[in-house]
Amino acid sequence: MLEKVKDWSDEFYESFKPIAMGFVNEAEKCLQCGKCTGQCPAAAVTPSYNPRKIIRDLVFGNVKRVLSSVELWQCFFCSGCYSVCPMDINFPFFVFMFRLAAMNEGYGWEDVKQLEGYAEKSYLKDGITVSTFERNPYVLDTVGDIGKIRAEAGLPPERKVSARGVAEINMISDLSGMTAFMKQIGGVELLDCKSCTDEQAKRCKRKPMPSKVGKVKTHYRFYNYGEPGGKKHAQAG
Amino acid sequence: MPRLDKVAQIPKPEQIFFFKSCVASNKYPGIEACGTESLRLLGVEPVESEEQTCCGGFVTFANVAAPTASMPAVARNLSLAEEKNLDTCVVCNGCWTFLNEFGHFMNHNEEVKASVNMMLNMMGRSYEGSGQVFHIAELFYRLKDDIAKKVKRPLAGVRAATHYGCHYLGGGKYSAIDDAQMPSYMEELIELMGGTVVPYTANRECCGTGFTQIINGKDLSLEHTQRKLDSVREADPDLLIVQCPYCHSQLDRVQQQLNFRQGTDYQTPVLHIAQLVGMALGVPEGKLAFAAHISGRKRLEEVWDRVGR
Amino acid sequence: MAKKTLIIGGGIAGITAAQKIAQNGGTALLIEKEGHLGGNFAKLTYTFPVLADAKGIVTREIKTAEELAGIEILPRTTLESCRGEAGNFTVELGTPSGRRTEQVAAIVVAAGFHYMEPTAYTEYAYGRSAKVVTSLEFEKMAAEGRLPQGPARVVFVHCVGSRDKAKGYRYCSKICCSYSAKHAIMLKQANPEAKAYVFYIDIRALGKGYEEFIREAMEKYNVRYIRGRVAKVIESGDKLLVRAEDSLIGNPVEVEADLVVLASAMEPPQGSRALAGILGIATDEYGFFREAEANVRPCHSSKEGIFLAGSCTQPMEIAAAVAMGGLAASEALILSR
Repeated sequence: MLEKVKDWSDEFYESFKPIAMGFVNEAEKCLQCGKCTGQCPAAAVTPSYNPRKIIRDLVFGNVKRVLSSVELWQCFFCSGCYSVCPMDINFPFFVFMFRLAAMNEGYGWEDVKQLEGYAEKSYLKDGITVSTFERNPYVLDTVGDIGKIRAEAGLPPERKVSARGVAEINMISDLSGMTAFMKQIGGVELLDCKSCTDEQAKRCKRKPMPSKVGKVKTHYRFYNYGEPGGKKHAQAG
Repeated sequence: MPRLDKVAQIPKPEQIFFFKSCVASNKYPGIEACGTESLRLLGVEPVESEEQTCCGGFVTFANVAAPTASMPAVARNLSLAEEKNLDTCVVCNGCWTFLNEFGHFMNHNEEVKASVNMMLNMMGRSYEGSGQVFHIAELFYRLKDDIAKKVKRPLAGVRAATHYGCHYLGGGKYSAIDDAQMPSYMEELIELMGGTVVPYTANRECCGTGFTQIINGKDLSLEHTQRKLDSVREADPDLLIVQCPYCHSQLDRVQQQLNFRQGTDYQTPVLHIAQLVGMALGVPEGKLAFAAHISGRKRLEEVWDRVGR
Repeated sequence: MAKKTLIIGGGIAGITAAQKIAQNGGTALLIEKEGHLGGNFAKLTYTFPVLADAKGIVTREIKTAEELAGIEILPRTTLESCRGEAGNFTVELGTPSGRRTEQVAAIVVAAGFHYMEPTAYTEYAYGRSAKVVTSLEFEKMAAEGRLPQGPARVVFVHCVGSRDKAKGYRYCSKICCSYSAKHAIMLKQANPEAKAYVFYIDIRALGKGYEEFIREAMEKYNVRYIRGRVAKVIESGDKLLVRAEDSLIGNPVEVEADLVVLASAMEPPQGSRALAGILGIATDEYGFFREAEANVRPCHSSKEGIFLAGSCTQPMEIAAAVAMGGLAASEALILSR
């Protein structure tokens, strides 16, 4: 498709820098050498995901393509790109900041919604992000009561964070705006396999896009960087 | 491996602040139990705190919050160690990289540090940035001579493969003790305890968790893990040794998921380096908490038979 | 009688400078820290972009220098100290038979360059796998007839240490594109069954015949050029897996290789900063000697009477080093009359 260069934004990257508190660094140093993509675990399974192209679009200002892309949400956050980068560009931080910008435009909230549950139900309630809850019936049968195993290992049956600890991180969450942020995406029930109805189970497999997450209207995302890869798509094709 | 010279700079502490990991506590308690017990056997007293929460990295990288929310959470956790005047020891690559990287960032950015401290002061805490954060595997490597002396169950005849994990190596481009691209200290530890190291092609590949991909992009995540597991199976080790509970959970549980979905038969037991060291140092069987492990239970029994319970 | 000129370094730039001084009635004192002349040139099998017999050419040039009456050659000799000013320097030399003091009118620094040891590039398994070699080692293998036999795959990796802020130097080493093409052609000539893959970021083939040379590698010898910097080399049994992105397509690729050749960067000669300290001349941020003015006075150092020649100033090819040797010689002759 013909792209019009006049649509590219010169301001985006500049406006991007202060928000990131100095975490993003020197994308303009990128040589487009492709060392990042060459070692990328996500690119190895879905080649349309390409860190090199995302950096290029950031520097050149074609941010629309990045923000509305599915690829932006496929980063593994493994930091491998940073570890090999000849110019020391910390790409995972760019992805992180990009995602915030995309959410600002109404993209990707349905993904974040799934994760918000961990923050709200586990992190802020217990101070521990991963709970003892098991979704997988096989694991549940095999492992049984994790409290019992902890006790056998000489640990208290339940790891508890003190009331003061939990109160303090809630305070941090309130003060830093995290709580207000999460309120925006509240209101959509997370599918829970224990209480899931047949209708929900069907939806779960097909994973339809909710049109609204909480108070935010969400937009469709596209494979903007090429055909999606992966075994699933290869078989479908 | 010249980077290993950094190890000499790690002090041999009498006490250390033991930073508990969410996944280790609630999914694989053996990591926590063995971590503390092994350190004790090696003459380092782990100090814990009930005030310690999740490191705070997850919520940031799940995009639930901006770094402005994670930074004070990291600072708060680090201040707990500073109160006791101790360095911190973590068992999880995620904790290691978030505490290190965010800590480093705050130490080099007075403005951010001041704003974080403003928040912490309201709850009667403060963050100075005086302590250091070590991964437990680094400490084990630092104490390797003591480990060699104190091995009770030599790992003779045990073939082990290693997996370092991206957040130690990738995130540690400039702060890991070993070369981020070609690490070797875990291999050295395994051989030191009498085990045999099994090389495999995908050693340096990501475990496939992809941080949140296991939740949001499960197909990608499983496909990547399967590649890794295929390579592991080809080499056929008795144990796959990891140093991150998140990798541990992925590599252990996805085996069962793939077996269920595709009728494959992946059966490689996954152990954290703390559990392996615990095993060699003679920590009682219960403390290793293998009951929480999903895959390769039979194989693990065979390993037990070889090293003796 | 004309005063002497001291030439530091017996590579092609230093040899040329000595020849030109002697042929124009001057006297040259050529010192070389190694036991023999020729420098990096003498380590090559072929030249580029014209595939000529490198050993033959360098031997011929050394012979010419040795036969000229106005040249004294001192192997295994280094500069110990230097005092004085343009037209009248007092230098102390460390020779195998002890110290020696000389009066010289001018000094030509032709200290050459050093191929970087890519030990920091552990992601390429260098130093770990015997099948990962530098281009210099490849030259040696070619000279000794040890190139892979049969249908082997050989991968050439550009920019190892060049254009890399994290582990090497930010500059482009200029000649790696060409010598990698040369190596690929050498491989295909020695073993037409072999397959050659070159991973590049950009191809830098400036100058007469260079572009054609690289196109010849692609067109005549079927060398496959893939745009993308190699990310990692994985050992897999007795093979190597080379991972990179084919960035023109945007897809990660993996090549199963039998040999990986790293085109390591040209770096300043070892001890260049120490030598600059003895001479009292300036170096740049990397350790190359700094010229007084890059365009029209490329061979003037920051100090009167001390001239620069060849790749100790910047990465350069043989032809440029020879031209610079000649220029430095004519500058030195002005001072020695």
